[in-house]
Amino acid sequence: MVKVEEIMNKKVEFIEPDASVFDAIERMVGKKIRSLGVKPKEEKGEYGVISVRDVVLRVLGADLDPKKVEVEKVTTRPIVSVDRDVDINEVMHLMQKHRIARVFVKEGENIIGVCALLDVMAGLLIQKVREHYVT
Amino acid sequence: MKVEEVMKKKVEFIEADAQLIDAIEIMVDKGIRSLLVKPSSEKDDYGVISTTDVVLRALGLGLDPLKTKVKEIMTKPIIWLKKEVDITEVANLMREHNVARVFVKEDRQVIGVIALLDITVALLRRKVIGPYVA
Repeated sequence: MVKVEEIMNKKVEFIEPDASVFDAIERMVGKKIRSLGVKPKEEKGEYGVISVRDVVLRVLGADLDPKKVEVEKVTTRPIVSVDRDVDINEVMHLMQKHRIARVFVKEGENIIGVCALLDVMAGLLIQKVREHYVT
Repeated sequence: MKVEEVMKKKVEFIEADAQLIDAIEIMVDKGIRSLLVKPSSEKDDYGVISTTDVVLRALGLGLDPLKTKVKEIMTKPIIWLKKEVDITEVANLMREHNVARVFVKEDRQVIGVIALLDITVALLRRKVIGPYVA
């Protein structure tokens, strides 16, 4: 078994829902990351996510001005999340079920990591190695 | 600005008959999110296998990557354009086909690829969508 905490990326960047998509683009490009967590709209609210896919397919590809579109408009909310000790096979299943490219990892109310498609694939290789040495 | 100026020229390939586990190893090892699948004959088309295909069409459904072939889950044909096309058209094409990457072809050969983050960086740098502040 491989737990999601073993393969998750602990560096999760956040943006405000009323920031512009242009701000989100600058943040993603500057940090070389493909998604940002979007903070809740109000206290006790749910976190969301904006990805480079959302930016290209829903803003740039639709000929909208990223400076005039709020992040919230293209945010997917709520996020799909799991606990840190969940098996990566469960994460893959969630991605398939929800047709999503990343699952967040929560500890209580805090987001402590994110796990994307390539991360679970890396986890699968670790799992294969472990199975090999156990059998 | 033309697509040939922003495309990535290094495109990794895999055979259609390769096992899925081989594709996974190459992608993870090289940190890349797609592999171009070679045509099996002169008349055949290129295909593509991406991290989305691997997880959403195979692993997430419980398929065994040691018993599944690349050709069973790849996307075919690929979405492509010519190297002279203006980069502003790339995002529209991605939206139209709901894809994360488009290939660049010249004389039936694939000579490059542009992915979501590549086109976002290019548009930002070229001030198509505003000033770039690094």
